[in-house]
Parts: sequence; structure tokens; C-alpha cells
Amino acid sequence: MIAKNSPSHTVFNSCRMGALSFLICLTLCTSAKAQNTPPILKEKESSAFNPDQIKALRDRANAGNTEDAKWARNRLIAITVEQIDTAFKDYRKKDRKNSDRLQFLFDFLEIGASSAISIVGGARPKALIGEALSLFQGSRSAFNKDFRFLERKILFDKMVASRAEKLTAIYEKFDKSVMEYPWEQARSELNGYFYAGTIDEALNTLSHETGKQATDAEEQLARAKREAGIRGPVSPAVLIADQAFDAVIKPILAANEAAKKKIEDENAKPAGQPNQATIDSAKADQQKLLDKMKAIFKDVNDSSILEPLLPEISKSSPGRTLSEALTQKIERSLSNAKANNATFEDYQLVLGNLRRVVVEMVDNDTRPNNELHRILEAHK
Amino acid sequence: MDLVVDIDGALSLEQTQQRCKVEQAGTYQLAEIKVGTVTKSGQVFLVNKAGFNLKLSGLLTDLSFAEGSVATMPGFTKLFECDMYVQSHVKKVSVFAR
Repeated sequence: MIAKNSPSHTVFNSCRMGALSFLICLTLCTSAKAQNTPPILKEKESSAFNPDQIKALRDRANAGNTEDAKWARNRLIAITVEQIDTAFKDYRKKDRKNSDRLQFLFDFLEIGASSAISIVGGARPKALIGEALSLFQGSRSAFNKDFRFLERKILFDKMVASRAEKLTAIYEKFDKSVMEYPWEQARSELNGYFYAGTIDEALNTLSHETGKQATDAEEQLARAKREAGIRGPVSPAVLIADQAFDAVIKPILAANEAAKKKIEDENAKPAGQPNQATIDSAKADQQKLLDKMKAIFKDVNDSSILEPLLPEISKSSPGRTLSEALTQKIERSLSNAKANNATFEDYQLVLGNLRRVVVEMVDNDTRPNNELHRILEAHK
Repeated sequence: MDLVVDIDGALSLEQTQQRCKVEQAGTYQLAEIKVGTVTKSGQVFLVNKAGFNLKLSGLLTDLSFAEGSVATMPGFTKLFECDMYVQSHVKKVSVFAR
């Protein structure tokens, strides 16, 4: 142990501070050397940056439908591409440099503060440096989040891909005459090439592409579910069709149930008390309702749209399984209805299942649903 | 059960209720809902297997689903309680009708 305020302690402290300063200086002085730009690419007098030569080329490109005009147009395209590429590369370099500098600064401050905690003595200085370290770390994550530093790489990759697509499309038209592909059109497409290299456009393209991918994936999933026979949400068209059937069918069924109850109530009375007139009236009502169902079924059976669907009403389909007993019951009721000796329940069973089939079809084919409605409305 | 229909387990409670109402088609009464899966081309889907019984008289057409174990609902008759998928999560649901 070295005693505080002793000469050895002072020397030790001086050495620590000296080492720290040396490390800081060393870090600041170190720089990464970039490659030298070839001289031809530095030249500012070339046609790529010379307004007079560009004007001359533009005049030649608009001079007529000649090979010379085509050559001038292609040169203009090449010059514009060079200018756009230079702007893009400068922007990327500047952006990367700024980002690297900031990241280095954050690294330096964090490492420096971490080292300082272990070097300095005393609880108070340690606590202060600890707080400062938290501040650096917090600032770094805020910078990374708010300025999207970590997303920049993705955006630049997107820009490079979009630019390559646009440039390929432009180069594919080099062989076209100036009549087919005038300079004005080329300039418009070059404008698109320029915007493909901007952050805004990269964000738009990414958002559009991911949105489309999400929509495609959802559609694929919905299709797979449909193929598996899984019933999804009820579409508005199906809901309307279902409600429309209820409006027409419910009163018929309710009237039949009322007549049935009247008869049951009268028959439940002690012997000699049932009112025969009430029973006869209820039976007459039932007969009228049976006749109505019979007439509805006859129209259904005569319809070229609905008749082919009748064998389907007793069949299971993917995602919808009818029990064997139910299948037989529906087939029996259908057979009775066709033989004209069906009960009210037989017609109810046949028409109820036909309704189920036509409502199910509404999203793809509305004709069977409309036809059944037309028939029901006619017998209202 | 006379009729069993596979209903997408990703639907909301209201969507499943609406689907069951349409499946009743004025002829069947919803009697049970069980959780299950359907496999198609290697893909597995979560489904509610809704069971219906033929009901030609006294059918309760309006359905109302309530999340949790609910004893009564004014104006409705309780049909059953079940565990079913609601937006792909198993939930306890009470089913009422009138």
C-alpha cells in the first residue's frame, strides 16, 4: 500500500495521468488513410462538368433522327450518370465519415470514463464519472435511435439496388433511335435514377416492398385456409344474404309453430273441452303453410340454377362435416319433396340446407342466392 | 353432432359469433365449440370446431358470446360454456342465444 500524500503516491498519480494523456493523444492522432483518387476522376474540365460542352451535346441530340444524335444522347446519358454517381458517392462518403466520427467519439468517451472509474480514487469522483458514463451511453443509444445510424446501412443497400435497376433500364434503351427514346425521356428516367439514391426514396421503396410482402403473405395464408375449408370472417355480402333469408323464412316458420302450438294446447285440455273449431282453424293454417312450402320447392326444382344444387345439400365439404344420420335424413326429405309427399319439416330441412349452400356461394356467385330470394319473395 | 364446421381460430369473438349465426342457417342450433387443428399441405391451422344439431322448431337464432364464465344475460338463454380460440388464444367463453 502507498500512503496518501507521500512522494510515491504523487509520482504514481502523475504516471497514471501521463499514461492516460498519452493514450488520448495516440487515439486522436491515428487516422485511416483512404485510397487516392485517380487523376482522371479529379478532372473538372472534362465534358462531365463543362456546361458549354453539355449544351453542345444537347443541341446535337435534338438535331434530328440521326446516328450522330443518338451518339450525342448516349453521351449525355453517360455524363449525367457520372454526375449522379459522383453526387451519390460523395453523399455516402460524407454520411459514413460523420457516422464513424460520432461512433468513435461515443466509444472514446465510454472507454475513457470506464477506465477513469478504475484509475481515480475516492467514492465521490467514482460516482460522478459513473453518472457521466451513463450519460454517454444514454446519448449514444438516443443518437443511434433518432438518427437511424444502425438503419443507414440497410438504406444504402436499398439505394444501391434501386439505382442498379434504374440504370439497367436506361442502358437497355441505348440502341433505340432518338425518335423512339428522345433525350427528354432519358433525362426524366435519369431523374428517377438520381432519386433512387436518396434516403427518402429508399425509405419509400422499403416501405412499399415490405407492405406488399405483408399483403402477399396474408393473401397466401387466407388462400391456404380457404383450401383447407376453414371458415373465416363472414363477408358483408354473406351477412346481407343471410339476414334477407331470415326476413322471409322466419314468419312462415313462426306461423307454422303457432298453429302447431294451438293444436297441442287444445289437445292438452281434458277430454270434451278442446275447441274443435280452433283445432280445425289451426290445421287449415298448417295446410296453407304446407302448400306454400310445396309451391316454393316446385319453383326451386324447376329452376335451372337451383335444381343442380339440390344433390349438394346433403354432402359434406372440406371444413364442414355432416353426420351420416343427417345426410340420410336430408336425402329422405329431398326424395319426399320430389315425390310430392313431403311434410312441412321435410321442406324446412331441404330449403334450410339449400339456403346454407347458396349463402356460402355468395362471394363467388350471387345467382343461386338471388334466384332463391326471387322465389321466396314471389310466395311471401 | 349433426354438423361440424371448422372456424378460423384467428377470428375475434364477434367474428366467430357471426360465423356461427350464419352457419345455423335457420335450421341448426349451435351446441358446442371445441378447439382443434387442421393440417393442409404440411401447414397446421388453429380452428374452433363448432358443432350444430338439427333444430326444426324452437330454434334460437340470435347468438351472443361473452368472454369468461358468465352466468346469465338478460333476454338470452345460456347454451353452454367452452374453451375456444379467440384471435389464436384459448379463452373461456359463455354462449347465449335467444
